[in-house]
Amino acid sequence: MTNFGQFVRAIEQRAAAISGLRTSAHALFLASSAALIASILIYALPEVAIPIAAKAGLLIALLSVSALGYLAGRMAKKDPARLLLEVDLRLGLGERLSSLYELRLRGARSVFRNHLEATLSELPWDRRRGLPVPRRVRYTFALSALFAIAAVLFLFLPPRTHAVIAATTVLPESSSQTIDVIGDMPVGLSDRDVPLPESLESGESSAVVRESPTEQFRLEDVLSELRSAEGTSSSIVGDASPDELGHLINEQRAMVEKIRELIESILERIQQEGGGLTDTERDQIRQQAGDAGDPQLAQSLMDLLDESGSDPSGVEDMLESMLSTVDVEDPGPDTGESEGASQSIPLRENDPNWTPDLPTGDSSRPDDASPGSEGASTEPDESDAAGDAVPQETNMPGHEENPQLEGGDDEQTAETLESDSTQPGFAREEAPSTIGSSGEFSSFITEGVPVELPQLLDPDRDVLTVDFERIQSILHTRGVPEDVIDTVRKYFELITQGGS
Amino acid sequence: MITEQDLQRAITTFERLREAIAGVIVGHDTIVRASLIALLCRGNVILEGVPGLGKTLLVRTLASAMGLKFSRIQFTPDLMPADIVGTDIITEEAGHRRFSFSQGPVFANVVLADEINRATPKTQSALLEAMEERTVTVGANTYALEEPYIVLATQNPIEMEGTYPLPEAQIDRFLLKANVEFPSVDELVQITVRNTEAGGIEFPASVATADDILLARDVVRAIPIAEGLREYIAHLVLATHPTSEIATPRIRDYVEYGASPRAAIALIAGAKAHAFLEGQPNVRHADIEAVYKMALAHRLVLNFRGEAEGIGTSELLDDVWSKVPVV
Repeated sequence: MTNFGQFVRAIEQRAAAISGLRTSAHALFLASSAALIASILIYALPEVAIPIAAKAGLLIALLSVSALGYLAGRMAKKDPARLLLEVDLRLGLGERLSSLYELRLRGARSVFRNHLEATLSELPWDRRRGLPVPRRVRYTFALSALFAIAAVLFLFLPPRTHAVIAATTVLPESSSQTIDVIGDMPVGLSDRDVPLPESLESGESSAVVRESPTEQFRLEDVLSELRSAEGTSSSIVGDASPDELGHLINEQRAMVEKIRELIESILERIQQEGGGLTDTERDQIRQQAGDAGDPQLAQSLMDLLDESGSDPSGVEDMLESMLSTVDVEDPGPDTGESEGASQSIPLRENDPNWTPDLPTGDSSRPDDASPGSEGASTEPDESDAAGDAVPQETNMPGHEENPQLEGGDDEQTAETLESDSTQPGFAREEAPSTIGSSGEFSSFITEGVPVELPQLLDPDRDVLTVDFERIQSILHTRGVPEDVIDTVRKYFELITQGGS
Repeated sequence: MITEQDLQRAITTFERLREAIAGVIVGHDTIVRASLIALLCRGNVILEGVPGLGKTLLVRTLASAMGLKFSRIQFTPDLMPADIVGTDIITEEAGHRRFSFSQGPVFANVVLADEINRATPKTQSALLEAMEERTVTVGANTYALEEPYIVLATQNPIEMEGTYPLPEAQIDRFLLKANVEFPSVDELVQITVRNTEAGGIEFPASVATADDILLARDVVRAIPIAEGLREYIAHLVLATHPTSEIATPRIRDYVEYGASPRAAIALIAGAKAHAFLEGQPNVRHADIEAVYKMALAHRLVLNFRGEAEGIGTSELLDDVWSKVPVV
């Protein structure tokens, strides 16, 4: 060490730089933390529009705070004696630097000063090792930088919106109504419109759906999750797709129709000729019992065979009873038996006392009396002729046969409701609904959810309000597992953003 | 102003002194060092240990090696102050009677106050002036003691019945307190050899003079200490006070009174002397550590809880040492 004074000045400068870094790190940490919080809030609140200049200004502010902190830290007064003692201790110099400084400060020449200077000139020392940048300062800087980067990312990310689906649906001309369903318009997304799925575009509807984060939860994904969930009740249709499901139901209807025709022909013959069942008829009944998908119906047919052997006179009564049962079980609209089916439904839409809230297992309702319903009045499985499900094809407002919009006849409505209630599960439907106060959107609706249009529709706006409690009630009634219900709830909340 | 020659002379003196002591005393490095430090710092030492560990031998050896006058006072309950400091007696000279002062045993360079806690406080306090002021006052006359002067007191920690523990004011006047540990096996064997063979123990010849000791004291006082270490020592002492902001929780719990400013003086002076004995040109943190407990342990006064729980001042000082940062 040739010049102790220069050495002390160098130490002081380094200490000032470290002090500046320390202050700068703290200031930057506070500023970047605040910036991160603010940017997250801005991101979460899309209605808060921040111009690009302001975002850039935030960056400049962060850098300015850091620079000001550095300058302030540099200007803080340092005690060379303490600095030298710190260097002494860090480098293991036996406190010689600080002692020598003490002696020089007194200005006294002493034998010890000579000894100290001689010793220090031989010792190798590293200024950086003697006064390193504290680890805490480094970590604070790193953390602050991360915060700043995160804040910038949040600022320049597209803002999150409530329900980013914005669609304009042109309803069929025959409905003579046009429903504009407009969700929250996402900032900066106006040029990212994508066409609606084909299912929504069918029926002379043209619509666009604006791309949004909600698309990460596609209906197909949710449905597949529901299907793959363990313990899913039969009403969720297992692995069948909606098309397969429809096919199966059509087959079922055809089978029921065949049985009805067989019973009618046998009943007609017995009424004309009297007597019991012929062998041919017994074979036909046995065959139909084997082919019948419904175990109750098959059991009834087998009981008929047994009774006809023991008591041929009671066959006619049994056939009539069975015929009425088959009438109830087959709600097909084009079977010619829809009249009976419609009679089994007390035309709720026209019943002013009827409430759309679905009580589970309400035995007072007329449809509970239908065979096979087992009291689950809201369960629209095949055996429930009075299913409460939403009409699959005709629940869309503006549909030409939709009685809620057209004020059409009740019978037609009942037929529609009945026919669709036989197909459980979920299907993509276009139905207007509202998202709280932010507007309407055209989205998906869960098939089977009893959307009673007269009660749910806003007569002024022709929009449909659906809340999750109704869906949840239906799902509970059907015995859908909780995890599946949770998935539905998440999807519902996602597409409605907490609205309805 | 200390010159290089003075420094070298002082260093040589104490090297010879240590060698002379080591020729008689086996082991006991701590108390030998404590005695030399006290000698260099114009202080006094209290040695605590059971009888037979060589305390008296050490003191006599030290006095012999330095060529200084040595006296030993065996403290007993009936010992009177006049027995220590001396008294005026009537003498007859040329037909005239007059009072003349007869010096007591404190009039020496190296005084061994053996089992000092067996004397009454009145007698113990008779040493106060000699230890601190280096003077003795009898009647209206004050007599100066010859430098270098050092009192080495001993006390037995196991026979406390009939003893008078030193009052705080008096014990604070001891620069250091050192515990005399029992020797190890090797040291014990060597002790027996030295005492039972040949002519027994021979006290060393004088290897230093009083002037050499006084010069060494000046050298030690000139040893520099960094300002930061002075502040550190001040923090160490303040941290022993239960009312201090920097006191540790254990100090607050168990200490009634902390170390006095004399402790800070003792710590710095002792650290300087230690650095000198180590051949260092300045005080290091290690020097402070070496004398830290010896300088402070006997100055802490435990409260009732500390006494009841048998807390040692040594462990409290360890706690302070670990909590007070150097910088």
